[in-house]
Amino acid sequence: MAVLPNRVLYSARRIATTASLRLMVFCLISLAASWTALGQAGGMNDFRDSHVTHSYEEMAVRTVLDYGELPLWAPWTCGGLDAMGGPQTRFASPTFLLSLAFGSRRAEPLVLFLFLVLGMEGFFRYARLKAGTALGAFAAAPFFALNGFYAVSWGLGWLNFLGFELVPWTLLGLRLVFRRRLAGIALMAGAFALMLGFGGTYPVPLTALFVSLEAVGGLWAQRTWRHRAELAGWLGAAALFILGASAFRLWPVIDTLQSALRVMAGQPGHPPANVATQLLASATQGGGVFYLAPPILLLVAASFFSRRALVPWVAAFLSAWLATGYYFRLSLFEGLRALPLFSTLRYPERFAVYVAFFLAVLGAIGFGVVWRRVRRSRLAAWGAVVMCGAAIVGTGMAVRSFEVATQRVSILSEPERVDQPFAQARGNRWSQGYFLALNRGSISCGEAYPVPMSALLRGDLAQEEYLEDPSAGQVRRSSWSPNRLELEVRAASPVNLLVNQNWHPGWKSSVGEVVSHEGLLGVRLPPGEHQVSLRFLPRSTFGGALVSVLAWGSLGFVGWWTRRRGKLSPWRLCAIAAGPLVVWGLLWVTWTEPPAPPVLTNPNGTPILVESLPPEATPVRASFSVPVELHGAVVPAEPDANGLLSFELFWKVNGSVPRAVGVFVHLVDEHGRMVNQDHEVLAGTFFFKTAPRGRLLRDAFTISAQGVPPGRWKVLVGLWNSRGDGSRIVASTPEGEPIPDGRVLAGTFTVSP
Amino acid sequence: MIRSKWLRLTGWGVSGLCTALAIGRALSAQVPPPTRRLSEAERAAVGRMCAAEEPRWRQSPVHRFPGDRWSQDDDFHASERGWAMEMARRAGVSPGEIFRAIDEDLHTHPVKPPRKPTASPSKPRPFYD
Repeated sequence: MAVLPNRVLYSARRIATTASLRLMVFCLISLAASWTALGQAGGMNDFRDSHVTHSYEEMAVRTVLDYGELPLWAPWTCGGLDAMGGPQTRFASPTFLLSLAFGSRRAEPLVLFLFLVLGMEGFFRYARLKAGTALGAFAAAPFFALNGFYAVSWGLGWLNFLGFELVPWTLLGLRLVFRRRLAGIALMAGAFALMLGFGGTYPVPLTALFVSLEAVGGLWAQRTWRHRAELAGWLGAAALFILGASAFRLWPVIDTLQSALRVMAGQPGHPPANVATQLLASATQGGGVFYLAPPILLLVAASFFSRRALVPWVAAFLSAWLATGYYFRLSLFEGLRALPLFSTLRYPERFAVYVAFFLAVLGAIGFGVVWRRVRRSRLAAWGAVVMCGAAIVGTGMAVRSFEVATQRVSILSEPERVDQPFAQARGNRWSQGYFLALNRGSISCGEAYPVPMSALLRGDLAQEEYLEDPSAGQVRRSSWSPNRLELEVRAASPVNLLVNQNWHPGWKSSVGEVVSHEGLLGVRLPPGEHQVSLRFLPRSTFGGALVSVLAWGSLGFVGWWTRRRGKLSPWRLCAIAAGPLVVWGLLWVTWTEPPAPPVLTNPNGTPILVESLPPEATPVRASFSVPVELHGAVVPAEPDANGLLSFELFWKVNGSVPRAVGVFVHLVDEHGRMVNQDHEVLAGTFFFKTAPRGRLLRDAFTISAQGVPPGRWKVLVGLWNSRGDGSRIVASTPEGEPIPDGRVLAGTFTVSP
Repeated sequence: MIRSKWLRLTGWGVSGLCTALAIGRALSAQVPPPTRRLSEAERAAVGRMCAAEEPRWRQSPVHRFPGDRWSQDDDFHASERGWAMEMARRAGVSPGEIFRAIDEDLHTHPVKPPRKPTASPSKPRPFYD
């Protein structure tokens, strides 16, 4: 009886441990899972996000193949932006070669296919180290790689979320660093650089979090303090190499985000039952996202009998807790958001990807528990066979689920290209791909961050380059490419040459001085005839690339040294790893560019920072038990011609304020009826916690009078704790007199019947 | 047997075959485009029709997103897209033809308020839950 299961198991184990056969299985599974997607190649995914993200890739291909330039500037999006600095662009990765070779649309499903293979192989290698069994890791690998989240991401055009498939590679690298192996550092640096280059807005920070947790665990597991210090050196070197290797992308992204303040408010929460449903519900049933095929639970159950399972269980629990967001009063997600790198995270349910990952690891460990008894117990042998069967069934379910999810995608034919000179169009971010085919930029912008854009961009110009004063001369475009404009200018007097694209500090001119003309790209020129050559040469992209080359060169040097002369001490390793970062620092200091501070405006376009109260404002002095003062308010006497009531509050923040403190606005009529206009975010831009200190801030908001019954209304304003007990913050007059209920009268208005 | 060189080679071979199949399927997949195109005159007419609709699309988000310029414009663009897709379906042409018509109209006719040749600078809303 025992012969049959053992034969099956050992054959399966041979497949798992033979690289070619293992890859063969992974390739077959990936091909089956991506079969539908491959059949959609060349078509246009019509989902709005796909229009935005895919356009970046197509722009990059066009820039390289049509103009022979590096994809540095993307004039087709949002009036022009730094392509390398756009967090969602994914061309700074090796997958771009596929886009160049096959076209960006046909390359997409190939990228999916390759990432699935990569995910399975990475998981196998990591889980084998973790679980101590090749067959268990082999059986659980498809569960991780065929996570339905990736299929849904494919459908929505969020291809950059495939970066999650690299999570096991980073953790594998870390395990190798625990063993003091240089390959581990290279693996981690490569995986993180690839994730970043592939647009890993979520995979990078989230994976960094779990890598940090596992690193702490690794340090804790060391036997002596000397070993801990040695490993700390290795981990420090790894962190420095990762930073250096990623600088090509990190620097432009940091520059971009410094010019574009993004705030993420709200308190999304999900009950654990919803997270569980998300994990295990089938895409074929009721539209749920299939994260993990349920048969894995059979393998996971066995992990209860292994001590190796403790850390993955803790990690799975923490991931699940994070995935519930603000559901529990004690929210780990809230704590995470308090950290700078994670402050703009939304959708806590994305942590369910990590729950699925760690459950898959536990599945591998669980299999190992049974596997270690196979030789001694016939029952265990049959148990292992049943587990293998469960893995096969689960893989089949996952493939089917993947297929179902990818079938939901709305695919249209690729728009036909129209050859015409580039110009900005008003565009439409919901259908941006069509404008790119027309060689038109879409000013309508659907990016997830506030792209620094000029309000002067127009989609109706006869000429994209013009003089601010048209009577002062003439402009003629002699050549155009994304990164370079050649213009002939005749000017009778000093003029401002304007280009219908956004300004960026990376633009340089052969003549005159590049200026930001209300956010528009401009060149201040002297009188005369000029051949103006405008070129986009951003410091961050070239400087970052240099730092990354140095980092990889340093790593190569360390590898060569280690082979020839033996291992370097961890502290020498750190010193070498720090070299490229020192160069980064020097470049930052010596290679200057004009500053590009964020443009701070309210959602209605009015400036946030004001020097003093405007004449139409009524002074209202109140201070609060947190360091915030209310200085004045604008309250309209009645709704305007459009039936809108536009208010302004003028705040000053003088110190540290908790993140949860928000503004309440109560509109109360003579009958005691109340309309609420609470808002946690000042001017749609800041929390009180992050607002500039000591400056007068205009907080503008508008309501429709359609929902306000006729009558005379008081506007009562104050601060409250949007989290916890929801209590109001105590308010007082400048003389220190307490204001009843913490509600400050900002003004009154009347709504006529 | 499983250790044999031939089996290993088979493994590599099948892996390569899978990759080749993936590439072949991606390169041969077809999503045929609509054969009909709009003539210049039709494009001009479509552009005018869209221009006539614009004031209505601009008005409706004023109360849905009061005081939020980017959201108002975004809502307008959603309406415009819906109209363009429907128009393309009815005319049996690619939506690209309709967007081309809209763009050409903007470049050839003066745009007066409440129509706009611009789009408000990006300012995503801070709430997604």
